[in-house]
Amino acid sequence: MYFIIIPLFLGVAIGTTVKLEKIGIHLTNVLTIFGLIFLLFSMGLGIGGNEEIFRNLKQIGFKAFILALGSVIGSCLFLYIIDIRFFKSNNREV
Amino acid sequence: MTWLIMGTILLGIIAGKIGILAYWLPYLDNISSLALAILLFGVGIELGRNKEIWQRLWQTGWKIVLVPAAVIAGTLIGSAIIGLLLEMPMNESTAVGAGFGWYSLSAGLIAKIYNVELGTIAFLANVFRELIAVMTIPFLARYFGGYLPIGPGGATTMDTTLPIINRMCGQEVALVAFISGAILSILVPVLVPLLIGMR
Repeated sequence: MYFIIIPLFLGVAIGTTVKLEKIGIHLTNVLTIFGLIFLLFSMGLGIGGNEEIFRNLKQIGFKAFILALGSVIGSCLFLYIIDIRFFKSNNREV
Repeated sequence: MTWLIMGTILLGIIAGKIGILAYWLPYLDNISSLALAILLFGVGIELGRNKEIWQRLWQTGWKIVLVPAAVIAGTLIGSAIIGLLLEMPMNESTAVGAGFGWYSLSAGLIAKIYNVELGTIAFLANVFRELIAVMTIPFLARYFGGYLPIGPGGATTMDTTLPIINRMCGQEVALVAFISGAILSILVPVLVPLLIGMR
C-alpha cells in the first residue's frame, strides 16, 4: 500500500503547494507518460506470457463488457434519482 | 495518447509471447513497482495542480458533490451486482468498476498489485465504459436531460467525454461534469487499491 499512497500524496502535496514553472509541468507530463508506458508494457509482457488469458479472451471480453454496462446503468439510475430528488426544479427544463 | 497506450500494451504482449525479454522477468516486479511509483507521483502532481476545481466546487455549492457521489454509488453497486452474476469476488468486480473509465491507470494498477488477468479485464471494461459513454451521452441528453448524461462517462467527463457533454447538455451541465470527473479521477488511485484489498 505504501508504494501507492506515498508517491501519490507526495505528488499531491507538491502539486498543491509548489507553483510549477512551464518546465516543471512539462517534466511532470514526461514522468507520468514514462511511468505509464513502463507499467503498461510490463502488463503486456504479463499478458503475453500468460496462455490462459488468450484461451479465455472471449470470456474476459464478455465479463469486461457487462461490468462496464453495469457501471453505466448503475450510475445513470443513481443520477436519475438525485436529479428528481434534488435538482428537478432548476434543471429539467433544459 | 490512446494509440500510445494501445501500442505499448500490444508491444508488451508480443514481446511476452515470443519471450525475447525473458531475462527481464526476474526484475519485472521491481521495474514495474518503480514505474508505478513514478506514475502515481506524476498523477499526484497533476491532480494537486487542479486547485481551481475546489474553487469552482465552492462557487457552485455543495449539492454538486451529489453528482460524483451518485456515480460512485451507482458504479460500485452496478459492478458488484454484475460481479455476483459472474460469480466474481466482490473485491475484484468493484475494483474494476472503480477505474471509472480511466483505463490506463486502473488496468496498470490492478495488473501490478493484483494479477494480470484482472488487469486485462479492468483495461477492457474501462475502455468499454468510455466507448459506451461516447455512444450513449447524446441519446441520454435528448431523452432525459438533467445531470443523468454525466453518468456513463465516470472520470472521463473531465477530459475525453467533456466536449460531448458540453455540446449536448450545455455549459452548466458541462461544468458539473468537469468537477465530477475531477473528483472521480482523484479517487481512482485511492479506491482501486482499497477495494481490491491489498495484502
